[in-house]
Amino acid sequence: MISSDAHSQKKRTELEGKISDAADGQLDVAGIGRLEHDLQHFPDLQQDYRDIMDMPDIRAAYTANPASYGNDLRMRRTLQLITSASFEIQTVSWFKKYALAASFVIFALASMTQMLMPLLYSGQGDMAFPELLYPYEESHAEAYAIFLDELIE
Amino acid sequence: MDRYSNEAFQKEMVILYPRLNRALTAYLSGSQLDADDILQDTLLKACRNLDRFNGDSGLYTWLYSIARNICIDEFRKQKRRNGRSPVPVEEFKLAAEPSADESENEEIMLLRKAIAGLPDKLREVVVMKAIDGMSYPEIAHITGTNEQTLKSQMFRARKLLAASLKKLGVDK
Repeated sequence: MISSDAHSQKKRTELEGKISDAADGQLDVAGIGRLEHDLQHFPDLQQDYRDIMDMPDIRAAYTANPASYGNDLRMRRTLQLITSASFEIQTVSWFKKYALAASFVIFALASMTQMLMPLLYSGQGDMAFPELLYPYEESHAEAYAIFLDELIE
Repeated sequence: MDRYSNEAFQKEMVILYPRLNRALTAYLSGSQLDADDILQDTLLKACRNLDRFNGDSGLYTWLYSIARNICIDEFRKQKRRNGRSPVPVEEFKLAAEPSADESENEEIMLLRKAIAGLPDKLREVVVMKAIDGMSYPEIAHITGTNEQTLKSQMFRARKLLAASLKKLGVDK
């Protein structure tokens, strides 16, 4: 008895699916013939089938042309919002991708500079500065001082 | 690598926006939610999470999932605020929505009213299948329900609609 009920329930569910297929236009003539034949054993489903097939097309409730939906101004505004949002997203994504690499490069360059500076200027730093400011020039005063030194000797 | 670059996504949106708008208008019929507002939130969220779109489903299906989740959240908020169903059929209006010929207005209005009066789950399936034209596998992907159950839900929805339309005096 339980097995028979289960079988009947399974058949009903299957027929409900077939009725949906028929209403969706998915069944061919042979398929509809088989469905109508099977429905003879289920009078309540047969009545539902007739009611459903007699119903006006639901698609007519909302016109087939989707372009007639949506306020054009609202659509343009939303698309502008997306454009600016995608710019923000791209900037953040770019920052995430390259900011870490860039910071490593800057750190490495700064470290290298710090390490190389003492090597570049070792032993010359003290001399370089005054020489640049006061370049060596032979003067008469200096030549006279040397002459006096030699005279004393 | 993103399946869709931001530029490609924006180009697709120009095409998908009206279709999504129609589906949301039908889904939200009778509620106090505005399809354009939901759509704006959906597209911004999608744009921010574009790198998570792995292409398992179509772009439209992915967007629809996001929109559906936003709607569900909004319905919950409304329910908490109002303490009643988010789709009051009595408040259903046609005036602000696009319509075809004036002569067909009456029937269209009654059809919309019948759809808006369906229980949430059934209305959702009707909108996705009959109005938006999605396939059962696509709907199954979005809702996480198997195809056989979806067909049964579609059958129950149509049965309710047929009864409701009969009561309203709408014939084929």
